[in-house]
Amino acid sequence: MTRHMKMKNKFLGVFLSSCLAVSVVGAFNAAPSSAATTVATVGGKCTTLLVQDYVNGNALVCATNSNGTKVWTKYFTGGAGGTITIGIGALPATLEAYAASAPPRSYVVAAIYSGLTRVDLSTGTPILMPNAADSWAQEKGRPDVWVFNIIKGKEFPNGEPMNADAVKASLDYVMNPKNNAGLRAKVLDITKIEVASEYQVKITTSAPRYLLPRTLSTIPILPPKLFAEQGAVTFWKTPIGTGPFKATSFTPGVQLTLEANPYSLRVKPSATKIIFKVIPEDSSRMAALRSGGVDVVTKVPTDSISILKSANFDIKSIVEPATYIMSLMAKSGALSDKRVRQAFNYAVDKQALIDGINGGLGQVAEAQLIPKGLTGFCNSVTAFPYDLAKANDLMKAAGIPKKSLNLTFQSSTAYITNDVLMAQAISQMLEKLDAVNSVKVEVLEFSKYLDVYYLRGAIPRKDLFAWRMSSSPDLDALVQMERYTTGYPTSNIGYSNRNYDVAINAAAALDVKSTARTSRLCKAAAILKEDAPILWGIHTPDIWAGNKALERLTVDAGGNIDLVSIGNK
Amino acid sequence: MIRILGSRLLQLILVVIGIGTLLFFLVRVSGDPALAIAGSDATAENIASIRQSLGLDRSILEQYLSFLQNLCTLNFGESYTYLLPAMPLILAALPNTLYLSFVAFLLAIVIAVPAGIYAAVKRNSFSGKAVMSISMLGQSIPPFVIGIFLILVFSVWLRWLPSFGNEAGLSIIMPSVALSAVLMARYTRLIRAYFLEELNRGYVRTGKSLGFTNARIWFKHILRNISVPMLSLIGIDLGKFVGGAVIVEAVFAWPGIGSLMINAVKARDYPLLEAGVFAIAVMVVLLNLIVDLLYLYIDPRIRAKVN
Amino acid sequence: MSQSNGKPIVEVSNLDVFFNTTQGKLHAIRSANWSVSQGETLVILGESGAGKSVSVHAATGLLPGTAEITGSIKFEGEEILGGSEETLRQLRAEKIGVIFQDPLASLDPCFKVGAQIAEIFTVHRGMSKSEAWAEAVKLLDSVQIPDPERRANQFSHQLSGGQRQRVVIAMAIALSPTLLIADEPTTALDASVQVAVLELIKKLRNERKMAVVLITHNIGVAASIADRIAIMYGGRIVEIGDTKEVLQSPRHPYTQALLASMPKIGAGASKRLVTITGTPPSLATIPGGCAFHPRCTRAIAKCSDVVPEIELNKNGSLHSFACHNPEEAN
Ligand SMILES: Nc1ncnc2c1ncn2[C@@H]1O[C@H](COP(=O)(O)OP(=O)(O)OP(=O)(O)O)[C@@H](O)[C@H]1O
Ligand SMILES: [Mg+2]
Repeated sequence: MTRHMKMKNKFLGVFLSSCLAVSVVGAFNAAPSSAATTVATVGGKCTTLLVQDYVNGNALVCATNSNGTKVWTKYFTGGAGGTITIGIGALPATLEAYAASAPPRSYVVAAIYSGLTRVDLSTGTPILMPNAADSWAQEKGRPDVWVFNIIKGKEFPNGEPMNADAVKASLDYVMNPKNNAGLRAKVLDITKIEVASEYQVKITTSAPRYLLPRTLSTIPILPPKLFAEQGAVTFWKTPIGTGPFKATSFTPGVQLTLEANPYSLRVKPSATKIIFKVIPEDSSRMAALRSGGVDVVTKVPTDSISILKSANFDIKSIVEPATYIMSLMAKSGALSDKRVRQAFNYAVDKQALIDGINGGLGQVAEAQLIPKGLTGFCNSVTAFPYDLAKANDLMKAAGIPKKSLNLTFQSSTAYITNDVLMAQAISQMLEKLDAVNSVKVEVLEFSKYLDVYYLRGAIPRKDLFAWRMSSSPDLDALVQMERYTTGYPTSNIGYSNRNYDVAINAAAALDVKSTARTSRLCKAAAILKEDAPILWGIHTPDIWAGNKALERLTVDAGGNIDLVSIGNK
Repeated sequence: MIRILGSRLLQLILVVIGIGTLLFFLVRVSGDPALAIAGSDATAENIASIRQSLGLDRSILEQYLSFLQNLCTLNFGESYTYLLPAMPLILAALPNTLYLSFVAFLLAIVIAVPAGIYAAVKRNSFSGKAVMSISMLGQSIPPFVIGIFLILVFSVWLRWLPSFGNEAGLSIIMPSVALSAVLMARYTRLIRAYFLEELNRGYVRTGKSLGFTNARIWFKHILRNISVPMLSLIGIDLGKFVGGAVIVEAVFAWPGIGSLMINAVKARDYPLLEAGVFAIAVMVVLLNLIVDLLYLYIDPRIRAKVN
Repeated sequence: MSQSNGKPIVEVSNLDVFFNTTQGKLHAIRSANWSVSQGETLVILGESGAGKSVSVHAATGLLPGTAEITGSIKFEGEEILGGSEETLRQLRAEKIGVIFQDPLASLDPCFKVGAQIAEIFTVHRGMSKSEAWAEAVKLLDSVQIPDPERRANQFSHQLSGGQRQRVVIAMAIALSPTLLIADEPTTALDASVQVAVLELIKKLRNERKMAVVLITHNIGVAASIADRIAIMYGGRIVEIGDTKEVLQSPRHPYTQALLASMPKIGAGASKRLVTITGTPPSLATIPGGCAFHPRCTRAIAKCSDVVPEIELNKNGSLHSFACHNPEEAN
């Protein structure tokens, strides 16, 4: 112990000087333990991000914090962190790479495979990092063509090279409708994939697509020959990849063991082994943490937080990149009047939902479809304040007689955090409106709920339908805002506004970084707030807990645990 | 003997076809597995093509016929969620469920027999009444609550036992206790009642007059006699026991078919559901067969009728 | 008749038995005195509920825990009352054989009869299973069960009533007890079988020199086997004496009435039974004075006030009775 500490201190100095050598100075929150740190910069400076040390398998991420100083957010060394066991509510049933992009599949996939890029959310805003691609850029004068330069000299565990052919083969597979890849929806607008050279790929989209490098972070590159030989189903059973980990054992529904992957493209993980244990029962999972059976647990129920805190566990609460909202059925009846819909928004006390139901965790949603921090967020469009008097006035202005509205509120159960409790609370709040006689909560079992969501089943959408609008993996407002354009397939609540459509279409054609895009999106957001086809709720909390012996237990804004950094002290 | 085997086999076939058919229509009424498979990012076109590849676009009659065919050939196809053949998945999990059920059952018997006899013999004393009160309690607390309670005491507080999974040898203890508690309590009460009844039987008096010890009379003669009515109850309980096992498996993250089936229901994984129900039906019928054979062994009057 | 002058096996004196019941304490046996010697047979006669079974089982320790016993019971000269449960169990194992009334109920339906007999030898004689089995077959043969090997392999429900009773007898005498208690051993059997079973008991008694206490309702049975007869009424022994004397010259009016009312073995239908008027008293409502006086044809004033004492061995007579106004001796 003491000897180790001394070593650490010694290396601290070395580390400092190497930092200075590349003129990156700042505070750091973790000490290095390797002397051989050479820091390479991508893009030469550290103003927006990022430094990675590929050589030694160490990773450094550097970001600029709000007051302009540069902050080291991570530093770790491969293989010192021991074994970490994570108690998880559910694991993906397979190790399929192309099925979906939401947690927990997202972090399992990202652990085993590499996409062209990687989105780092550890600073709160999405920062694009190299992964299978070293760098990328739009072709000059062709905003619809992206050029990716692939990392050189790397191979898959079976010896196949990581190159442009592998990238093309993988994307071709996802795009082929025959293969039913869930992620195909993300790349529908890719029209052409060219292998320009062994290490360069050109991807053409039907219209300029500024978020393409971000989107491609979710689509892993696989060894093309092996994948074709084995066929997808066989490959998913014992998959190989170039992510930081390899899956050494997988029992569906029970356990997944990850160990450091010698073929990792970028980094060596801190932990030697990460074991996911499926413990579906909330209380059992919390008990597993408290008994020391696992080091980390996912999906901490809000009523367990105080117990875990008093037992000296670390609670990591992040605001999910998701919003609890209720679609309002605007097709006909009282709700077709936007004043009524606005009134509903004024009548719901969002802070009370956070304090009363979610243990003070989570965040009131502004009247927008994404949380703060993600691209496309507008500071000017804020939440409806809680104002019952104003709500009643609006209802009166809309000519709704007293006690005349009998509404139905459709909710999932045990799908969104505290969903049933939220539905009941919101119903009670709405019942306080003079014009509302009753709000009936209709709790839908999951498969029925999905049917209603997709508008496929026998049950129609009712006045209020609660759901969780996710912003991963793009972490941008556009995809979500497109859902309220005229004729979008799964919206179907009878909302349509030409001005909104125009603003969204205009924004879609612009670069993410451009201010014009932001102003279009803000205009659309303002229209949406005014029309209020939605009753905005809160950003639900995603709560993790871990024991204090862990280092670097971090969960990013996408709901993904940082498996690479986590380790034991 | 052959008659019994034959009738049980017939029963098995009827049960499997019956439950299978019921399940077939129930799950198909409940909704579309393609939605669950496709995931949140999928397009409508995507879903349609999944439906086609699963054969879900065919008429319900066609699907039912091919389901019956599957039953006959014991080929249930691939799990929609796990992308693996369904039956091997079930068979891989089955030993865990059997192990848990067997230990729980054994535990129930091993505890309930002496406890029931004690409560009967000491029926007028405080300790005998205490046994009855405890068993009353045990019978009324659901296995879920018992499970959580055990975890809090033995894993969280004392840290003696692992709270989930089946890796250590000790892992079996808490799940089996939680699963057996209700049965243990029920059997304790039943054994006490039967025992009191038997105490007045002539053969007990005879045993005493022959100078046999109480232990011999209780454990050899009375026990043998009450095992006949007990067995018929056990036969009835087996089905319920499976239900309890599903809950306990969830609480302790026990890797058995209960956990598998819960997921299969959620995801509408028809092949997995069908294979699982088939396995459970076979298991229950087989266990009932064992009960039948035990009957023959224990009660000579029944044996005489069969021969 | 057998020898009645052997050493005394059981001597019961001043025996009182009470039962603690929910209705209060019931006085079931009142100052009973009787004894039986080696090779001797005592028959106890009396109406149902008179206390016959209770008085003999006080000696076997088979009364339930609610029973309270006072007085003295000596077995082969040793006081057993107040002894431990274990000594009583040992006594039952080695010295006392009991035959119960209902032979089917006395056997365990779940075990082969051979196994039930063999169990006695494995438990009390430490024999191996096969030795014990062989011994059981021999024993079945000695109680005159034909084809004993086959029968040993059967269950009680496969045997006839007479065969079952023989099995029960075999079990009772398996360890050559010094005392055999037979509580209505033939009641459930038809007449010819009754005779055969009784003959068997007689034969075994003579061979093994057992003391026998036999309870019956049948005078024929009593006459054919008894050395002495005791008559019980309302928890008391009202008359006791040599068989011949009691049967031929009953002194207690109850004895006389009882004898007239009882069936005799082999008796034809021609002889009509005389019934005793009135019903036997229940324990809770036993009349004061002589318990029989409300039903007694010879009752005098004293009978309703003073309990008549039984005078044992009065004037060296072995015939004693408890009556203020006895029948004439003939
Ligand atoms: N365990 C008991 N508790 C209370 N009373 C009892 C008990 N056993 C016997 N008695 C009572 O004691 C009295 C004598 O009973 P006992 O069995 O000796 O009658 P018995 O003369 O053998 O009659 P039977 O010819 O019907 O067998 C009866 O009134 C009976 O009700
Ligand atoms: Mg009797």
